Amino acid sequence: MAYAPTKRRAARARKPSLLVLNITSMLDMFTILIIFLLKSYSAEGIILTIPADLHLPHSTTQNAPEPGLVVEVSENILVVDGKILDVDLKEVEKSETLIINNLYEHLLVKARRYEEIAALNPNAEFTGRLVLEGDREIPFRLLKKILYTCGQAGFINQSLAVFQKE
Amino acid sequence: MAFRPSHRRSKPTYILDLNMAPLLSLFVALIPMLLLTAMFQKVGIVNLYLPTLEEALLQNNASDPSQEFTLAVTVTLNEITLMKDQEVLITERIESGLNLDRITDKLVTLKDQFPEKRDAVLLLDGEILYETIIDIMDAVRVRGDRELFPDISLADRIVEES
Repeated sequence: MAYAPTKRRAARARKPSLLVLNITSMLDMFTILIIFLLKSYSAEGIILTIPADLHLPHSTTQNAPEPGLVVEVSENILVVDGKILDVDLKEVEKSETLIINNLYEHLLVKARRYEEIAALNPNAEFTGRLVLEGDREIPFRLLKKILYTCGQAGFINQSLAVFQKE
Repeated sequence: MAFRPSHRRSKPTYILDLNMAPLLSLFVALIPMLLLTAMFQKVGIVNLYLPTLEEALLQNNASDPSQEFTLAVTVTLNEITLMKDQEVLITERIESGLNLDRITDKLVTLKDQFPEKRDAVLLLDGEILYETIIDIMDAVRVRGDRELFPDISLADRIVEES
């Protein structure tokens, strides 16, 4: 008598027992990505966020950013601590006065708040720390007025944000 | 009578495969997190220097007056001038681009003469762009790994009436 496999057994033989995706090459890629990303990871976190349309100048400085009041100056808008101020920078550039009134008043409020916090919490001393994120195209005439106004409002510990050259 | 199929041939072959699925899920979690925190463009700061009243008084009472002078870099659209008090040390024309090598060389020799001095003043025209200011500050501040005059203040150039 001929030995013929049953229909069921034949069907089982055709079907693969377990479907395994080969993910080895994907893991290789992920490992390389992880190493690359870990290299560019900074443990101190992001203190400054730079808006996409703001082009900072490049510098050889090695100083890491420190937390402080952030003033962003792009070609036509002025932002203090995330709030857009109603200041026409083109007018400011042309004007003869050194102080920018709108900015000065806003900064005074900020400085007063920092001082109030400092009075309640001795650890949070008001150092007058200010970080200016300026577009690389702004002229000194404008920069000087902004820095002067900040200084008058009590922010005397000024630094300029830059991109670090490799 | 036909042959009975061999058992040896039909024995399933086992493929030894490591289970990578947990590793994969770990990577899938790690990669977005690292991508979000990665800084492809590192941000740094350049500190501006404002002399405080005490420091100004201290400088006036300095024990060695020969070490005291004002180091100024005057920048106009056309040229950069390095000045020690009123004496012009070097002038560099700005033509196609900034060439700060000679100025930095001069600053290195100055630093050799006055190792205690740390401050310098940039006197700038209103038209000078922020980027140029930072470049000049870099040239005055450091040379390679050597610190030259890191305490830089910015000021307006006084236009002489002619």
